[in-house]
Amino acid sequence: MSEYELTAGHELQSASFVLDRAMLDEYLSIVGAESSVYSEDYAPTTALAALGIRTLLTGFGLPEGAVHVSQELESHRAARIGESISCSARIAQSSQRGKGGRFIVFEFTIADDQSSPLLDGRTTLIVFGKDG
Amino acid sequence: MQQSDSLPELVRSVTQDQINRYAEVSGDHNPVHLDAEFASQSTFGRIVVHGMLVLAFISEMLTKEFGKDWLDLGRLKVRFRAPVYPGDRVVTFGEVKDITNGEGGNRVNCTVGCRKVDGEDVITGEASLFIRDP
Repeated sequence: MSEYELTAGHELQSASFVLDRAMLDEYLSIVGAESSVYSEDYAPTTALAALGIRTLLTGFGLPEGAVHVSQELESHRAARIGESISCSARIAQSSQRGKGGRFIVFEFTIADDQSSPLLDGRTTLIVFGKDG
Repeated sequence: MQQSDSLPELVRSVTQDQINRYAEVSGDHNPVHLDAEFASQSTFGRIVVHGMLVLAFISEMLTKEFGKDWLDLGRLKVRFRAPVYPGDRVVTFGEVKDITNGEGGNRVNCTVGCRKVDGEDVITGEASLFIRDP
């Protein structure tokens, strides 16, 4: 990942996913989610967020070993199994932290197939490059 | 529901198998969660649980309390304070800070977090949601 690509304003093209039952059932099992609301095929907010973070991790090609510092999420409506969703992301802020890595703030939006927002997220990571 | 009400605590522990499965379902294959040798060279010194997996426990606490209202119009803002290691036992916590009346419903503001059973905070923050009038 070049310094240019880790600068504020850099954007990703959106990635698309389908909220399939197998993926969500596995997620619910891992997390131990038991709420009755999931019997109505709604997806957990953090499952959507995980897809958003997957987009920025793979799309920006971050170095290994990034540390998650903070997370903000804002839901606009519950998503359901079977929905097609898209995720776009951008780097909102990027600042060097001496030799201790780089603080990067990512913003992502997950939208439905009508481009209506489902979830907004703001993720702060410390990214360590070759020189730390 | 009223100010100072506590949210339902959830107690969880995370195994390496769960971490591996979470990496697959989330797409986060950061070796700090999966590779003992890599993790030993990291700032953590050993494998750590995905922060988003621990955050999921907090979100489940909110879903348990508020149901679909949380999924529809919930907001969360947290900081990751300390790593969780495989085998650690953690418990979520939360409290209603205040409830404000708005047009068409009420906004419920909470403090939330997750801590190890020895008391060390691992995630702290705030959550809020808008509960529409029936």
